[in-house]
Amino acid sequence: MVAMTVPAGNTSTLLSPARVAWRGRRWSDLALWAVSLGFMLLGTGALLLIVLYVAAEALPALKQAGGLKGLLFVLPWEPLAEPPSYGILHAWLSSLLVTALSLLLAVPVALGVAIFTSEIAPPLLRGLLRPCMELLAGIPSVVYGFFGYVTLIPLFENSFGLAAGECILAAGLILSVMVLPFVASTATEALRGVPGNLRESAYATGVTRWHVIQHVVLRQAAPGLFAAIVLGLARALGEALAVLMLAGNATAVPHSPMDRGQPITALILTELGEAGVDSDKYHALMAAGLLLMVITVVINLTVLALKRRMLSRHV
Amino acid sequence: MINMTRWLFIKATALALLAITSTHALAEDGVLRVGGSTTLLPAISTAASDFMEKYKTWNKVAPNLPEKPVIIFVTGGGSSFGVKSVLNGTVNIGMVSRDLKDKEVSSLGQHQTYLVGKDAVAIASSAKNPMAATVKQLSGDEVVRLFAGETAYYSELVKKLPKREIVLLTRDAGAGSTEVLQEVLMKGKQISPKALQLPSQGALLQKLKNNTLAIGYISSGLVSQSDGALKSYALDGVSPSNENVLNGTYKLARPLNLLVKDVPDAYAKAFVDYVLSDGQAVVDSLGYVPAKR
Repeated sequence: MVAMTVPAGNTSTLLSPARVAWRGRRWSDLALWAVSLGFMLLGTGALLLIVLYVAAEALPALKQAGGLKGLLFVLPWEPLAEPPSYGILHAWLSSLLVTALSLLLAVPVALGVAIFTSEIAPPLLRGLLRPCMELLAGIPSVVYGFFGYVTLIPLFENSFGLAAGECILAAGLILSVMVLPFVASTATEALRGVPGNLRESAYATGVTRWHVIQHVVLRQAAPGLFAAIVLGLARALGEALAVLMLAGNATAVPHSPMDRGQPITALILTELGEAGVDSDKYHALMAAGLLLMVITVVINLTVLALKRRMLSRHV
Repeated sequence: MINMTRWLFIKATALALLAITSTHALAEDGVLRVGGSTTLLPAISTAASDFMEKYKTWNKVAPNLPEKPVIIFVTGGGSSFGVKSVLNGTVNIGMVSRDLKDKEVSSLGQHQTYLVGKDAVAIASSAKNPMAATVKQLSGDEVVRLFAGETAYYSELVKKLPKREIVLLTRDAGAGSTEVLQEVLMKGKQISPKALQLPSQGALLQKLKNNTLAIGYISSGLVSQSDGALKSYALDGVSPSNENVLNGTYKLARPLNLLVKDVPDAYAKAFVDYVLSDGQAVVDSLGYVPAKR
């Protein structure tokens, strides 16, 4: 019936083979559907299970004196005190400080690198720069941490007169170097994604290169640039080894970038080995882990909302 | 040495699996199980692999023993785990890096402890520290105030010293040396939150060498092994020398014991004797004070 309405020339090429293969294809389609659904459930299920598990294990931490407020804002981290107290104010403040500092330092530079690589550099140089960035992004964090430990710490101690070189600033500095290639390469990708005809038509109106970059390329690439920053942020917030080595790993609440601190990741890394399962410390560490997840989600949502607002205003 | 230990673990694990299936009484298959304190673990597992390498079969240890391969299985788990495992028979020898509690003594009944060494915690700094030249000893009170963060500058400790910050180095809360300091001196007081927590004794040693403003606590043997780079301070006039640690006048120390329930069998006795003779060099090299010299 359907074949009647289709131009005669197409019947043989389109419909007949399709009909012949239909039975076989239905089963392979079904199998594909089932397998991909299975993997989707496995992936998201595992993720959901981890989140739920951490949340469930974190809940008992609220039972200590002071509840949520005590855990987040009031209590100090004193596992050896009588009674022990497990407050994580110093940890999340350190995490936020280190992350903010690293992004503040890395993002402008990374955007500059991306603009240069994508818009200004001659093709040969561009072909060289991009693999370099990707290579830098692949260096393990412990290498950066070690590099910072043997260069930055003595520099801070000998040249800036700090009693101990370990501080939030040192961790932020190294973290910014670690984050830089991530943000830069993703941002370059985003800039390269802007269609060439947009650029060319802008140039055709006789404006300067900077004008094109500022008003056409950057604006068009904004969603991708936001994604680049979020990627850098996630990397910075989740980094553990380098900040453990450089932030000082001290449980005092930091007040300035020159103070010592202990980001959430470093706290968990330091204490989890000695925390007995189901002990108060264990639950407090789980709560710290949950908080890290919550912070990541909240920041991501904020950036997403910001992106939407900016886009609706510009486009 | 590390490879040897690893090999030992692999072999031990395989044997542990075998042991589950066999119903032989302990030590009948030539296997000796040791477990407990993680402080003692490196010393004892090194001694164990040296012992196995030296003798290979038990009849070479003593002619009256059977010709079975020497296999010694060493695990960590902590001192309390060591006592518990000796009690229920999962290990032949327990490693306990503290004195036995009264309750443990009564539930053990007849038992033997062997002091293989002592872990003395020395208050130490770089030899270039501002107070290294003038200060010879600290009182217990001064140490407490120092680590509690109440004495923040060298000038507050001794007036003539420069007003530079005292950088405190500590181990994480679970470390044995922290336990000793906390129990013997700090009591209820907490170590200053500004202190840098280092993940291992080795990291602390390096930081202490590199940062001239730092003060920390570290196994006394590591100070004497530092070739003068570090200086340890006497506590209430008592220096952490091996003599003072062994005769108990130096307070910041804890015993490193091997524990056997009832009377040790021939295997256990042979190994304990080995640790108390040739094994003492290993105890010494790890920075602890050997019980015998």
